[in-house]
Amino acid sequence: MRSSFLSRRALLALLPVLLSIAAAAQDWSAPARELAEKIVARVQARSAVTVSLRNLSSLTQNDAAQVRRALETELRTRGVQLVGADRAVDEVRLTLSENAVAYLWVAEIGHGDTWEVVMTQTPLPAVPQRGGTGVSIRRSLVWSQPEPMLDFATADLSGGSLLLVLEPDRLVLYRLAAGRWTRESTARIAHSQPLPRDVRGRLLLQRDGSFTAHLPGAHCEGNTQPQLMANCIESDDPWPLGASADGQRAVFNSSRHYFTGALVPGFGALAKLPPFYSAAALRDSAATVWLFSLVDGSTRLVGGGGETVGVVAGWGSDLAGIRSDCAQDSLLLTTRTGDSTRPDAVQAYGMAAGEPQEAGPSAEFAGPLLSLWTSGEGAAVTAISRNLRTKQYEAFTFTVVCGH
Amino acid sequence: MKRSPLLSFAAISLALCASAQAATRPAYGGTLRVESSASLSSLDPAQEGGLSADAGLRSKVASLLFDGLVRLDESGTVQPALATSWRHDADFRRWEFVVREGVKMHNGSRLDPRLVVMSLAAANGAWKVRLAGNAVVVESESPMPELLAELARPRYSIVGRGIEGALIGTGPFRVAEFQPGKRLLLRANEDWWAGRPYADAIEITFARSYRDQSIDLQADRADVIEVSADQARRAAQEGQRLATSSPVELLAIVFLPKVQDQRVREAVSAAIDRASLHGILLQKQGEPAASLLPQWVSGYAFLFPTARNEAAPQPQRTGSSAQALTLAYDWSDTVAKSVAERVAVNARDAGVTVQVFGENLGNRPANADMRLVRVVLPSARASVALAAMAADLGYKEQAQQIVAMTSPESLYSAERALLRDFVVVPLAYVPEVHALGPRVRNWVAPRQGGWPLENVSLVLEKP
Repeated sequence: MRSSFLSRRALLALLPVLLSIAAAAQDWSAPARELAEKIVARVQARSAVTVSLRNLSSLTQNDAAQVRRALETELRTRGVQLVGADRAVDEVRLTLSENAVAYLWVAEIGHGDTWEVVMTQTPLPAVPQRGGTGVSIRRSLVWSQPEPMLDFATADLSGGSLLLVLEPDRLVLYRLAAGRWTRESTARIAHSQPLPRDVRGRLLLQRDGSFTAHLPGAHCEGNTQPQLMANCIESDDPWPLGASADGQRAVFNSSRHYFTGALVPGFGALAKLPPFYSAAALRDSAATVWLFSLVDGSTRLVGGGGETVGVVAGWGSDLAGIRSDCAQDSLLLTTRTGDSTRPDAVQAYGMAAGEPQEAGPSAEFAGPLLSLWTSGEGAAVTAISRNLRTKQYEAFTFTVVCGH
Repeated sequence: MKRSPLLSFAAISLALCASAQAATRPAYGGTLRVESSASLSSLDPAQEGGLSADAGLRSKVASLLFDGLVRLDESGTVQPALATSWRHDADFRRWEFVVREGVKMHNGSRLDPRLVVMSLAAANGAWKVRLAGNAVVVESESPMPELLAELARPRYSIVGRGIEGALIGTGPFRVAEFQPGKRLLLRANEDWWAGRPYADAIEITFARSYRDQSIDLQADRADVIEVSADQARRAAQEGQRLATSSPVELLAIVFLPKVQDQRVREAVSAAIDRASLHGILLQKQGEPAASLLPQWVSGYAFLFPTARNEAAPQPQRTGSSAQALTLAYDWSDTVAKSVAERVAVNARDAGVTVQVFGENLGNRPANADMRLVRVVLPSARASVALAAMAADLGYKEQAQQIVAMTSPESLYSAERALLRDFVVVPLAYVPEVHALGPRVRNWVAPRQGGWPLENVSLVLEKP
């Protein structure tokens, strides 16, 4: 079995990270036009104006040069002749600045002791665009949005590909059209109690388009076919721990962000563990071991009979199992330790010589991991991260690809 | 029988079991111990602002106890709070807010939209506030384009007032014990609409000197302390864990009306070596300031020259008699003391003798010609901040005009006008710096300062 693991390890060493963050080029023509009009209204002689530039903003040198060109074009359009400083009657000192909400372009116009100030502002660039499409890669960015996401699922149905996003107070259904996810409908989820701050949720989407969603104190059942329909009720029913609803389940503490420890059906005589954040099944050809990341920071390993067979320290609070179709062993994905102010990472572990071995390099994220669940009948793991730079919530899928 | 590698691993890991700590998700529980050099004798957010030494602390505590209709997130963006949605008319004179349902107040009662009406009406007499169905309507004769940012200020918190004036909020923490001037103990609000905070309690100790705070942090008697701007660099070099905001506190001189000669005020202003203040006394924390708003808020602060103006008129050279002025600073503020002394040295170069002395500025007006004050930036939005600062500095009429301004040019003109008579002389903007103990997790410092304590969790011995 070791050889199969090592081959997978070699595969995972190639884990690609595909994050397509499209930086939309900003159009400076409108603010340049506005500023040019203000400048022209204040220069004495359009025949001899010189422009100097300094950049106090977060614009790059390239962007600043573009702004200057845009402004000079607008000035020339209005009959202004730009000349060197030694021949100029009027000087325009252009400062590219910014405040908390906008770029601020400030032009000081004049000569000698006579100066006037005009300004124009244009909004700071929006955070990167929503969306993206899932592709067949090890880790793929499926979706991003500014609103918090708890979990998501994708499916290819007869009517096309769909993406179902679970948010704290609604479900949102998207369909793939012309290569982009397009919002189709939403279903609201009412809560009778305040949600925990670190709110969590679980979404299981079946191949027929039906789904179940679990949130603290609430449970939803519904279908995406022919249109989104959800029936949500107050409920403390146990949440599934694995990829299917009929396996091991556990009771979630509706006022916190962890499971109480109560297991259904449990393992032999074991029906109660200390509170834990997440659980995953790790399988090889001979046994299945469940791993529970406890609230105390340790990870407990539980055998099929409920016996504690190991404790691991130093892993993060979220873990999920993932299997591949080309090997019998499953892998474990875990987050790393830290807090939500720092970027997180997902590390894959497999077994080698009876010990957990890191399988390939860790997959780094631009913010904390908020969710990590086994999905796709065990063949995938979904992850939600909050990008600390863009403030977007980003949905990723992990898969193990064989044959490379 | 085939042996499972998994179970082999399990046996090994059990044998190697180490003490486990530090998961990614925040832990619930524990008491966070916070210390402050300032002191509060009242928790009423209506007293927010002003030039008192406790203004910053009052805002921080108010954000723990009370909610407004909206709030600003760590990047300064307006987010819903007790209002879930809002709309306004075309000229921003009428705003309508839908109040969040099911919000519980600290005394267990439900938030009544009528309380929202009463709170807002009491906070701003220029507004007409009324109920329209379940919505709260705010109207004004002048446009209020930045009303949302205005409502995010602590003074517009929704506050219930119980018998004997007890304050009742909806915020993430509720008061468990308050010893005015000494200590405040807060308990987590289990029913907070935005989710119970992670810490069980917050214990805030007032009036601790910076030195005592530093000792307490090192001795594990405190988790969060203040670090004065002049000590921030050293603290960083010593490896302390620091959280630093953008520049949010303005150090400024305010002349009292008894100094009527503008040439004297102008001479003092022109003589101040802001570069030295910033580079030496403040150890390059923040920025030199000749404007009321910092550069990151206005975007145009660079238009106010901070360099020493050698060409400015000096009272002696222009024939005025030699001047002797007094400058008061807050006695507990060591940074203010050194800045005041440097101002005195600079003023002497301009022919103005300045005598400095410390007073308890939090309790009564200074008996001096000038005061060295700290003005806490009231908002990350330029017009809201400038209007509030103008009001605090006594320019009430101008403040009402400023709050309706939207263009940066008009704000710039208004700010220039406020500083034209040299009654207020900005010196420097400094950031808020906190040192965090090893138990503190998830401290996300907002750009405009404050205590984000609802998100903070503690590393605990046991869950």
